[in-house]
Amino acid sequence: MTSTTAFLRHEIVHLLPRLRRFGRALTRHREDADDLVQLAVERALMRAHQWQPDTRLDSWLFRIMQNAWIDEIRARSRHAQTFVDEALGEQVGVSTTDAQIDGIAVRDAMARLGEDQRAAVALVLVEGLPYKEAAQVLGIPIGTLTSRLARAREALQVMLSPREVQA
Amino acid sequence: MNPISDTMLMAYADGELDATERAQVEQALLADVALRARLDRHLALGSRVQAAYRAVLDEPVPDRLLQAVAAPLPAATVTSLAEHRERRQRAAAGSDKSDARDAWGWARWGGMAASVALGVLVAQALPRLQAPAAGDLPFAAQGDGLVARGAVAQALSSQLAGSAAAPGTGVAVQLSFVDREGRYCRTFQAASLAGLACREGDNWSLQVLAAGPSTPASAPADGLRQAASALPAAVLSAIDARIEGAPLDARAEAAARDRQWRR
Repeated sequence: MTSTTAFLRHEIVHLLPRLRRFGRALTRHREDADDLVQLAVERALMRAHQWQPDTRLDSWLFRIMQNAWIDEIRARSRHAQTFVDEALGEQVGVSTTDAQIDGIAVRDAMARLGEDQRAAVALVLVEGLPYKEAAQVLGIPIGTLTSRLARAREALQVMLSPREVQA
Repeated sequence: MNPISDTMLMAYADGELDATERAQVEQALLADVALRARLDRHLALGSRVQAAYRAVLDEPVPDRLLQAVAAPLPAATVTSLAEHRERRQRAAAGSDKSDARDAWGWARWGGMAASVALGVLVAQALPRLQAPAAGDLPFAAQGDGLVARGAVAQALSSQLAGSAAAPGTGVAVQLSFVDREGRYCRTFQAASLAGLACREGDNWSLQVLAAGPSTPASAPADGLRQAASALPAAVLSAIDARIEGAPLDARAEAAARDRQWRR
């Protein structure tokens, strides 16, 4: 076990909740989210030498997750897999509060965003990454990130506002 | 003054503006009610979106993710989520557990580095595990890691393996062995936790801790030591990495206990 790998293991343990949260924002299904985290952890440890110690570790891991997710999306579209919306199913048997009900609505709206827009929202609004970091994770210019973010926000506002008339 | 664009307003909401730009927006906000309303919409949406995923942070981290961090690097390159899904489904179907039922032939995980750091790694994940309230936790920090205290320490020191969870301690001990460093090590289950501890001086030093089944495993009536098959994979893996020879039989274990686990 190299010292970098040992260091990474140590740091990644503490990042697991945030990685799981990002995974949950990115994918529609709980198991997909944890599968994504597990894959990213294994890949990160195998590529330990690629991580630059003066850069953010969370961004590096988000990037690995994001890329793995893109591969998965492409594979699924090739096999014409349809998504089953589990959002409501997950809540059965759990006592709900207003916040939890709103959470369902928000996660459902997020799931209906395009992949690019959802990733932008997940990185900036959920994980709180600065624009510069988020843009690097996605491998795009900052201007592209902010316009995706703007369109995503508009789309979410429409989906989440009960007074808007939906065409 | 130019009207504040929505791009700039969002950047303000996201904390992305420099001091000069922030001042510009804040001055405009003072005078413009409509602008304040737009800002509130952005802030409100941001709060809602954050809140929708907040609960995930408080969830206990699944065992398999802790194992992924601590486990040796897989021999085969992991290529896709589909592969992960298959592995997970195979494990759930029990096919990966069949090796573990053979008491002397644990599924080989390739041998982890038997370092205290690994024990510390998992022990530090403790707050994320489903554990009883902090005050109930029968462990204490010592040096770089954790040592058993209270009921767990007592059970490890005095209980023989294979017996059901003692009514007094509520702790079950599954098996004992000698590790490659010559220490006595024992597995235990207590409440929703399972773990492996090794005798160091006067303490039971925690090597690994994982979320376990809610009721401790106990030996079947015929007395065969098969209770360990109910231990979580992380503990089985830790045994495999450390064990020297076979687990102690009943006689050797009683003798070790009588020597206070000193070699």
